[in-house]
Amino acid sequence: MPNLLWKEWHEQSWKLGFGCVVLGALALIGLHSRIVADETMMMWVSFLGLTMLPVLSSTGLVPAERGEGSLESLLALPVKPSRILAAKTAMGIALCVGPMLVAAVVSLLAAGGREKPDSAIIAFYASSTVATLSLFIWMLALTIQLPSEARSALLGVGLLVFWMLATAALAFPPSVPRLALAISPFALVYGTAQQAVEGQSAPLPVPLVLAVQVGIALALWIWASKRLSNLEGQT
Amino acid sequence: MKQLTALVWKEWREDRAFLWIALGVFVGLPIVGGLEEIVQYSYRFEISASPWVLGFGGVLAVFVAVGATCRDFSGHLEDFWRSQPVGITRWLLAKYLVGLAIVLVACVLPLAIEVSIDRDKSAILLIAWFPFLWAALYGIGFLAGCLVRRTSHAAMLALAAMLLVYFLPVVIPPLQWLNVGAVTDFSILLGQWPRVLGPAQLAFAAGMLGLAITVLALALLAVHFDWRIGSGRKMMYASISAAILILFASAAFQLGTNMPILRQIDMPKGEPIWWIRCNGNDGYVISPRPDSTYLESTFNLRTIKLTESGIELGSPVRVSPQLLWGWYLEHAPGHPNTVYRVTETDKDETGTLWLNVAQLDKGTDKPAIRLGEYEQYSPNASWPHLYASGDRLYVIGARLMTLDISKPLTPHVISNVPFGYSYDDRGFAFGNDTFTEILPPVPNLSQRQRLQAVIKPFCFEGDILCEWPWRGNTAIAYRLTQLTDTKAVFKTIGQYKPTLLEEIFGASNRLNMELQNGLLYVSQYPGNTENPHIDVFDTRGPHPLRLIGHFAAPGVRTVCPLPDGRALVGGDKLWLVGPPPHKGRD
Repeated sequence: MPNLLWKEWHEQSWKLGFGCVVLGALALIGLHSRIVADETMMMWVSFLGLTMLPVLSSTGLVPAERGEGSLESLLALPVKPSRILAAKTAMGIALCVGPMLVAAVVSLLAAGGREKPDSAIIAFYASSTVATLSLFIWMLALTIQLPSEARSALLGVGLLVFWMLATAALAFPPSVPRLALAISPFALVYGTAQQAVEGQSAPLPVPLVLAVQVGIALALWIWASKRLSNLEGQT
Repeated sequence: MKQLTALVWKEWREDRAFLWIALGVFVGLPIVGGLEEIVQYSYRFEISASPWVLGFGGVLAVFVAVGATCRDFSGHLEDFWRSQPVGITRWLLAKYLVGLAIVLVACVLPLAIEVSIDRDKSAILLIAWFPFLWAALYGIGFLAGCLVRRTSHAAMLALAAMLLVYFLPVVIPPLQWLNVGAVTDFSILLGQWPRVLGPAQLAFAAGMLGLAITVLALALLAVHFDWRIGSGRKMMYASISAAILILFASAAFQLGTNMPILRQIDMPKGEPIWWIRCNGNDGYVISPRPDSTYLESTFNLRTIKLTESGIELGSPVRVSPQLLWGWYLEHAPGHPNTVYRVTETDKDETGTLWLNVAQLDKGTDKPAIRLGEYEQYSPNASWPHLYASGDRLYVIGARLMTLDISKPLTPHVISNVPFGYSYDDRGFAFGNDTFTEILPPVPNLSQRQRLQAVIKPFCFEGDILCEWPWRGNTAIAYRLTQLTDTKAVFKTIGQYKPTLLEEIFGASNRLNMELQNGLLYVSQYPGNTENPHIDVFDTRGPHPLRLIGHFAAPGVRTVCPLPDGRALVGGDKLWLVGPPPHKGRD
C-alpha cells in the first residue's frame, strides 16, 4: 500500500501544487484587495474548487492510466484492485482537500473576523470541501471504465452540470420532499445554508446530510471497485 | 511566381472550410435571427452579425492560424516542406497571408452586410478597426503553432494569450490605448454614422499592427532557427491559470477597495440599511423591517450619532417607505429629525394632497395641512416639490403655498396662490450636451435657491451637477454655465462609462448617488452575490469623473458622504469609511 501511495503521489503531486497555488492565489488576491465582499470572494474561490478539483483529480487517476496503457501493468501486480483503487482514492481526496484547505487558511489569514467570523469561514470551506469530495467520488465511479482522460473530463463536466440542475430542481419544495435534497453533492453548500439565509425554508440538518453523503460515497466506491475488478478480468 | 501561386492554392484548399463555417455562423445564424424577429414581432428585416463576430472573430483567427501551422509541422511533413525548392520564409508567408485573408473576409463580410441592411451603423467601426485586432490575434495563433506544433496545446496557449490581449488593456491603465472598447461606440442613435477616425482609433490600430508584425517576425525566426516549446499538460495548466491569475490580479489592482474602514457596527439580522442621512454628527438610517414582505414594505428608522468612540444606533421606530425617496422630502432647517412630505389620500374620488409633518425620532407622521385636490394641484400628474429656507417652507407646483415653519411641528399657511409651475416643463439632461432647467419664480428666493428647489432628483453641488441615465450606463457631469431668474443652463464637462471589467464586477445597477466636496459617490447594487459596492469619482480637475475610490462590502446599498471627507456606507452593516487615498490628484 505505501508503494501504491508513493506512485500516486509521484504522479499526481504536481496537481496538488497546482490546485493549492491557484485557489490560494485567487483567495489571497481577492481578499487582500477586497475587490468584492469577502463572502462573495470566498464563494467564487469555493465554486472554482468545486468545479475544477473533482474533474482534475478523478480524470488523472484511472482514465489517464488507461489512456497511457499503464493500467494493465498495474492490475497485473499481485495486489487487489480494491487496494489500488483505495490508493488512488486517497490521492484524489488529497487533491480535493489540500487546495480547499490552503484556500481556507489563506482566507482566515487575510480576512478572518473582518466581515465573517472565523467559525463561519471554517464552516463554509468545510461544507464546500465535502461537496467537492462527493463530486469526486461520483466522477471516480462513473469514469473508471473510460479509455481516456479527455472523455472522462467531458463526463465529469456533464455530471457537474447535471447535479447543478438537479440541485436547483430538488431545492423547491413542496413539489419535491425537502429531504430529497440531501442526496445532492451540493446539499451542504446549498440546502443547509443558502436557503436558510434567504428564509425560504428550514435548513437541512447537517448530520443527516453527512450521513446520506457518506452512504452514497461508500456505495459508489464499492461499485467503482467492482468495475475495476471487471477491468482486471478483461485484461 | 508559379511556386507562390501553387502554395496559395494549397493553403486555400486546406483553409477554406474555416471560411464556410465562419460565414455560416456569422451570416447564417443572424439571418435566421432576423427572420425570427419578422415572424414574431413584424419588425423590418435586420441582421445582427456584430455580436457573433465580436464574440468569435478572435477565436476564429486563433483556430485558423493554429490549424494552418500545426498541420504542416506535424510528423514528417515539416521535413518534406524543408526539402522542397522553396524558401521557408516564402512558404510561411503564403500560409500566413492566405489564413489572414480568410479570417478577414469571414469577419468583415458579415459586418458589411449588417451595415448595408441595418439602421444601426455602429458596425462600421468594427469594419474599420477590428481587422488590426484580428491580425494581431491571428499572428499570436501563428506564433503559438510554430513554437508548440501541437494543435490543441497551441490553440489553448493562443486563446490564453487572446484573453490577455482583450483584457490587460482594460485592467492596466498604461495599456488603455490598446483597449478594444476605445474603438467601439454602441450608443449612437439609429441611422446615425459614428465618428470613425479619431486619435484613439489610430493609436489602437498602430498598437495592434505593431503587435501583429512583431509576432509574425517571431514566428518566422522560430521556424528558421527551429525554436520549439515542449508542451505538456503541466505547461497547459500553468499557462492558462497564470493568464487568468494575471488578469484577476490586474483587476484587483484597479478595482480593489481603497477606502479604509474606520468604524463599523452590525445591524440587527434581516435589517440591511437602505438609506442614510447624516450631517456629520447626527442622522438616521432606514432599514426594511424583518417582517417586511414583497406585498407590504415596512421600514424601521434608527437615529445614529457619530462619536469619538464609535457609532451609536438608536431604537427602531416604524416609518413610511416614502422616506426612502429623498427628493420628495424636506427637512426643517436646524431640526434634522423633523421632515415635511406631501402625501395623497384617496378617501374621496378626486384624491387630496396633504402636507405631513413627521418626527423621525418619535415615529410620528401626521397630516398637518390640506394642500388641495390632486387634480387642482398637479394637473400634469407631477408631484409638487418642497423647499425650506429659514423659517419658510414652499410647496411648489401648480399652486405656490408658502408656510411659516418657525415652529417646525406646527406650520401655518401664509399664502396660497395659483402658480402654474409644472415639473413636466423642466429640461432633463438624459445625456444631452447641454440642458436647461426652467426655474419657478418663487418670491424671496435667490436664483440659486430656486435652482436647488427643482434640482433635487440630481446630485448638485457648487456649479457641478451629475446624473447617471440608464441609457448607455454612463455617468455624466455638467457645469452650470448660466443662471438667471428664469432658467439655469448646464453644459457637459465629463463622462464616465464603466469598463467591461467594472460591469463584470457589478457596475451595472446604481442605486444611490451623492455629491460632496467635489466627489461623486455612487452605490452599485447588482444583487447581494454580485458585488454590491461604492464607486467614488472626482468631479474636479481637467478630467472630471475620474474613478478614484472603491469600497466593496456585503449588501452595500447606500452611501452618505460627510462634510469632513469620510462617508457612511450602509448595507448588511453600517460602515464609517475614510476618503479614497488619491483624492484630488489627476
